[in-house]
Amino acid sequence: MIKSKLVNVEYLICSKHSLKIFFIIFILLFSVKAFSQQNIVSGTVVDVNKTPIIGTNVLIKGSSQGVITDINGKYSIKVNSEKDILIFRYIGMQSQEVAVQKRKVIDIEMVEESKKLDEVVVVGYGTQKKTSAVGAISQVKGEDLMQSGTADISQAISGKLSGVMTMQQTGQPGSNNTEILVRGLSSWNGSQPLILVDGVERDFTTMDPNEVESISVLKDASATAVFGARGGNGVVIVTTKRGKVGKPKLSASFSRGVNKAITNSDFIDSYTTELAWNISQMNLGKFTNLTPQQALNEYENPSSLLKALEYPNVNWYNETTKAFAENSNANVTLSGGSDFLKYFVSLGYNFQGSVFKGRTDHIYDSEHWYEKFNYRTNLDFNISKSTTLAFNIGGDISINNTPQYETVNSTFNPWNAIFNTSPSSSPAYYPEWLVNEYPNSNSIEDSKILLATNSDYFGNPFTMLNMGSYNRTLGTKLFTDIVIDQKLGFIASGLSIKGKVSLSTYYSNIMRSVSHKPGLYSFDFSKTGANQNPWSKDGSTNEITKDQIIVSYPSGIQNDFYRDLYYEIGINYENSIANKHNITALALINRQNKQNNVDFPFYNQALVTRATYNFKYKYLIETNISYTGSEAFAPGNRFGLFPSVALGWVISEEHFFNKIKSFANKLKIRYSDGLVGSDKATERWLYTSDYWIDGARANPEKGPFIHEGAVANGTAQWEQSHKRDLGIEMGFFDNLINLEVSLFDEYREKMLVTPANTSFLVGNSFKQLNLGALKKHGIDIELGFNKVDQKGLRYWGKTMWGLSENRVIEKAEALYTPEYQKAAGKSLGYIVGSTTVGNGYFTSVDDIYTNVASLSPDANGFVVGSYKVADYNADGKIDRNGDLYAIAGNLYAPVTYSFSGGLSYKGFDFSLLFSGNIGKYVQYGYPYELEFSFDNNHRIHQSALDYWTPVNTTANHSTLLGKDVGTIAFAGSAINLEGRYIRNADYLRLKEIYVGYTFDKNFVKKLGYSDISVFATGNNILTFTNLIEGDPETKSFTSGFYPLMASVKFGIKILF
Amino acid sequence: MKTKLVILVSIILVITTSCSEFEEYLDKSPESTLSEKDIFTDYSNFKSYLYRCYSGNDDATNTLNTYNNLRCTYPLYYGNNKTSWDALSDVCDGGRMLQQHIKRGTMANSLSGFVNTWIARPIFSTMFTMIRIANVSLKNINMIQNASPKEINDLKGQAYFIRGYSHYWLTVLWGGMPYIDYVITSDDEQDLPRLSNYETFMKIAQDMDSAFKYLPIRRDPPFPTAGNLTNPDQEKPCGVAAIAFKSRVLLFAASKLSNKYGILDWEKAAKASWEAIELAENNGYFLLPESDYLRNFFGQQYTNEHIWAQYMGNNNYANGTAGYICTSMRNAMGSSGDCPTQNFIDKFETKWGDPLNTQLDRDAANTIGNYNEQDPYSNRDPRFYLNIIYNQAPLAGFTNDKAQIYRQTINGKTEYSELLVLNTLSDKSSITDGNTRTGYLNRKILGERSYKNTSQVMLSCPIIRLAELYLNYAEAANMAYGPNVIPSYANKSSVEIINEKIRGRFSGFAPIQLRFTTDKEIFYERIKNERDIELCFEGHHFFDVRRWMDAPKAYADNSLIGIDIEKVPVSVQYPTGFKYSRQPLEAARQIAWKDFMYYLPMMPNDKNNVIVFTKNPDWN
Repeated sequence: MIKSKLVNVEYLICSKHSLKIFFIIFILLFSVKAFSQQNIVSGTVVDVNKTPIIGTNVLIKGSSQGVITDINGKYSIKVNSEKDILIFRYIGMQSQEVAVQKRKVIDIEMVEESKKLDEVVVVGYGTQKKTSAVGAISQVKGEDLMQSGTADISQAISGKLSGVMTMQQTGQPGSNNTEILVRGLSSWNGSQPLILVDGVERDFTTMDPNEVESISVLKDASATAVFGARGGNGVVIVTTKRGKVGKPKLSASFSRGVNKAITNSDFIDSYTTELAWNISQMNLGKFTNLTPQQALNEYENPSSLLKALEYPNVNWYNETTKAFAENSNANVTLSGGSDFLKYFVSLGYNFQGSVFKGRTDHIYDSEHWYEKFNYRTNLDFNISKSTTLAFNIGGDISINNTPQYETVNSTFNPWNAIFNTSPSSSPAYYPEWLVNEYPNSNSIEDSKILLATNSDYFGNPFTMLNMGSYNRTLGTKLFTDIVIDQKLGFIASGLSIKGKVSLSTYYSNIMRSVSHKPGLYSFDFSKTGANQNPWSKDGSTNEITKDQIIVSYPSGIQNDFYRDLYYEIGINYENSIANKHNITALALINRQNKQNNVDFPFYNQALVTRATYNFKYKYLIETNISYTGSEAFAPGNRFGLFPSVALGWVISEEHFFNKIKSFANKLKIRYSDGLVGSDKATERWLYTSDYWIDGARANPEKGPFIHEGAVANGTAQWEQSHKRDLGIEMGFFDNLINLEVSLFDEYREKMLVTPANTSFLVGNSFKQLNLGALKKHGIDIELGFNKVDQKGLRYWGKTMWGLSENRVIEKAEALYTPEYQKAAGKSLGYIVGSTTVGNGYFTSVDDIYTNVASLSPDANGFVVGSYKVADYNADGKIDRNGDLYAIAGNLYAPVTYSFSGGLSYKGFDFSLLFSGNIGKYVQYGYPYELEFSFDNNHRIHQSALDYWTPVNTTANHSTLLGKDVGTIAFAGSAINLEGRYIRNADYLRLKEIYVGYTFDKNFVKKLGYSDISVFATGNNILTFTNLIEGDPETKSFTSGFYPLMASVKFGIKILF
Repeated sequence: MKTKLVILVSIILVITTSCSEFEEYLDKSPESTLSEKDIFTDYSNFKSYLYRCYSGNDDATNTLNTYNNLRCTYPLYYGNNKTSWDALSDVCDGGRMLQQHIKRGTMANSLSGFVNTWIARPIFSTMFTMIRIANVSLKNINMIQNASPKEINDLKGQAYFIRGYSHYWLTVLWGGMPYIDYVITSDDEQDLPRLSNYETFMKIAQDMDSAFKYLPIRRDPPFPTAGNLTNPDQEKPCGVAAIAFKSRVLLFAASKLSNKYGILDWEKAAKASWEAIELAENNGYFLLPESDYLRNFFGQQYTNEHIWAQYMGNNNYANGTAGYICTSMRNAMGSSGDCPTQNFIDKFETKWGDPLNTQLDRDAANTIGNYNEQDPYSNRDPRFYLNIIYNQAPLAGFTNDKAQIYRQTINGKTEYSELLVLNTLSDKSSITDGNTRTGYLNRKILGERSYKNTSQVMLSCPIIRLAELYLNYAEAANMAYGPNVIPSYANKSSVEIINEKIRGRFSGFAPIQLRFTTDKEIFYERIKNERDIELCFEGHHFFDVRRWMDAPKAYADNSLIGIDIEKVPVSVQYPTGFKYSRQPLEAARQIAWKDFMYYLPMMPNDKNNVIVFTKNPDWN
């Protein structure tokens, strides 16, 4: 059923073996039953559905005595007197206090806590109650990720975390390069947040969403100061699921569906293209280049099958793609636990196929596909009453098949060619019937068709994808943690010490490489007569040789790896004095040794402290101070102190608020202020000058010599950012409506920048210096409502808006750079270029002559309808120095937003999520904008079809011209006219849609299961944008890209 | 409670002890890097650092000698873009067009060839690099652990020399510079005000004095002691070179373009030149005899007339990329090297001392029978025969072992002689290649190397030779005291030095005629002429004509001429059998002076980084 492309079976067997062992251990551990004693008071704790609740705390008020309910929700406790009051507590449920009186049996029905008072958020090195948290933190639960339908977790969070922006750049299977930004761009040295899995820096992109308990995003200084010089770009913490005390729960899910490429460009056929070509050539006065009428007729309506090949009309996209690609997911999860051991085990499988066709016979497999096995086992042992030991092991094994293209130019890939290659240049390939009709005695290829030569400027995409060469890469990722937590109650109540050792490794290597160069052929249509050989083979000779297929298994080679050792030890204190003064404190030291595709590891360490205090959850204060260090910087500047303080006031807890509690039930104001840093740097060893010894010289007897390379930055240090955040959280009508607004700003300085203002007087260049500065501000808004009506219909909606604007303050630019060209004062990532004036086009011959003196129309081939380039600095000359200026537009949208909503009723469940960008721009290049941009490349694009004519003066594009006009940078079809080619790419995309049905429990139970649900998901199925061609979510259009995918899946989930 | 306290204290202890090693954890760096300490404490490494100034190559992958070192300023040392300073002036017409438009005040893209293009003369950026290396060396000189004081002083002296020499080149090409005598760090101001030419030259002179203090007086024992001229470090400047260079610098400072205190500057220059002469003569430097004159340029690595020179290796005519202007006589497809103009040929007097510079001069010489326009190469300054290849000059390998530079009409069709054949392909289209277009070729630098005489020749580049010191003195003393005054510190007047030393080396050559030696200004013109001749093709004229501020006159629009030579029957009118007619060079090879041409412009990127530093005007 699942299309298994598993080649290296050994790996699977291995992992199966290890899993078997785990299972055996679990089953053994299961048999350990909870102890119980005979007592005076006993009872059962159930929820509203009468399901027993395991692990409810039953305490005698005012004493330390307490018990926990067992698997059946039963408890029994020895009470001291009839006056005792029992407290029943369970996370997520309202606590209840019940006086014992004379009762022997007290059964309790726990009610879900509507106020979510005890909801917990994950913060750096710990958790906090949401009510007392004062940092700017967003969190998303694992269930919300699982509903997304995508197996790519970095996609699954899209639109679900306020202040977080995701941008997917490719739909290529196994390519997890979604860009994640917290509150927009932060630095030109990298804006990626620090990503932690279970508290350790790790990449989470290949994790199975089924393993994830929650993802928490820390945004402000208060929440991130504990990460010091690593937290400046925000922190994403992924927490994996853990077992809970209770019966083993086994669940299995399986989903399967199809992917289809999102393309919004229509095919432009050869006939239209050739007509446009003729217009361009007439504009250029090149009448000998015109495509004759007879040929046009053939393009429009081929008179025979052979003519259809001679005058091809190739839709390259269709020729190289299938309608759909396959996409499958499967997961098995087992969890549960006893007093001694809690366990969570998950096994996942994911397969992603490709929409692109390749050669898949015999030993060939030049198609993209990706297959991944995820595994995770999280164990918690209660070794003693005060000691817990946690052991986590997780990871994945992936196999990624990628075709190796034979290209005409190393920078061209098939995607580039698909969007550039002329529909009329050559047949996609020579079909079987032609080969049969005109046998090629010199061909002994083992395929029935013959591949056409890469004759076009960009190559023949069909040929590229069908050569048969490919690499198959095996990646193995392994995350392990051992955590010991020792309560030190005997010293002070609430004191504990925790130690942790984590190792994360990733290795990838090519497990199989197949290289094959079949013959590429041309067919001369003028030689179809008798005794003529129309075939010729690429290369100088037509010899009868067959290319050797070279299969190699270079499995020892590491293409990509990391090895990251992390350990920490910390002391935790948590106490509540007289139920009024709630105090927590943390002191922790950690070290990290990270070898990430480098010989010399990166070393980091930190000393972290945190103290929080609140008075009755009403007045809140928190301070975080970290002292973090990195070996990357100059001795003396390696360590930085990063303090932060945050204050909160829960106004709704005040007495005076009670008057309006029926309307507004919650109001909390929080403010934080502090320093964080970013140690991202593009170079290492900034603090030493590079001295090097020269090599080959004409006069070796006089060398070698020692040279001073770039001069050291003797005080190299991290970027330092001062962040402030003001937040308001509100709840109305008993939390029917929730609103959270955060205002933030940031001033970042000491940013590393290669100084462009180094003057020639220095006689050398400097390494990056800490000279840059950037400021940023913005708002995050999250507004939601959630209602369950009396009939059980639940409906909800949510919208999130993020605005983040930045300005470069200082970037060590050349002193004399004109203001309009400087990065300072503009947003990071602004685009510099030139653009057109007036209505953009020369409207008459007079207009050309009177425009700018230095533009000779004759020399530059300007015609009426050409772009009219702006002389921006009005110096009478048009050039690539003075006339460049900052064009409005940024590849990173300042505004991101999402809408989501859903409803559920009696087992039916429906939700959808839209996400969008405002103010996003993309840069078109020749694959999407320019017509006939290279010699004899008869290719036109949709944006050029709306071209200027005397009656279409507000056209999208200049009159049709071509490559020969682009000989100077500004002539008609120059590719450097950024002002025309930066296009607004605002979009709104239906990112997710989910429809599910959970079968009636009674019915399911008869079948022997606990729960069965079926569901369908859809991703990226609708996109609204003004962009003419290309995908608005991607950034680079200049050389084509593997298209993003829309997908639809159907699945089933069974709880045994 | 006690036990609790003990446990708590011990936990705190454990944590604090791990803290004490806290910061050491990060004291890590890879071991393989070459540290500053490794370089500057070791004598041999220190030399490897400083000596990069002489021939170190910043592009380790380039197997050619490249030029981001002092060599890019050596006048006869060329990159692939083969132009000499003379070809950029009125002295020569370069056989190739490259960079010739500079004569017309247009730089186009060739500016980068003087700023940062390694294959040309990247003087601007390289000199600042040299200055930095000198300053870094001076700053770290006391770190050396394993060298004798003498060795250390030598390096110190070289660093001062290099610093001064580099500033000199920046000043003569771009004008006065801020004097950079410290290592500029990222915390320092990087935009500094410029000094005047005069002030910069004074700072250079100071550095030359410091260099003299530390450098060995000369590197080799004087002639005839064994070892003369064979020191392995012969290519490096010595004490005499520092003082000799100071003489040039003070001469430049006194010259019209830079003079600040009038006659006082000339006196200073004269005195410095005399001191240099005495120092050189006392240390065994002497003028080579006439017969060995050309050994200063080729055929020998170093001579005792070289005060500072660079031996360029042993090359044949075709080895055009070896770093020497050996684009000697190639065939029609190759290039001609530098071809002297007729304007320059006219500077060679008759052997009786008649000037021939102007038509009036020539008519006067003709009247007294000393010059015939149709037999122009007889009875000239002996240096004419040493420096110039002219029609029918002896030249190995060519017909009759003579240079054949003429055209003749046979059967109504023009035919060109061996050295006039132009490449038909490039003749009209690119005018870059081919043989002489002036009627002359250069013998001084190239000897007789040509595509017909392909033997290997040792090539030398004199940077300062003794003859220059005499000329420096003659010029300064004339301006300070007049032609015939002997200052108290010296024993020769300006006229005496010229006649005895410069002209006296050549037999059968008359002293400067008396009519020119009475007036300071008149004699100044003869001194200039003498300097142009004696130091021709050695890269002086380009700079001299600017410091004299004679360029507007010498560079008058479209004034460059060559000689057209037609073979005709021998007659009274044409006694040599050739008809010589002066003719202007084609337009693209002409010159035109504009006042901004005193200094080269700056690159846009360089200009963008300075505001306080006044920028040179752009050329157009």
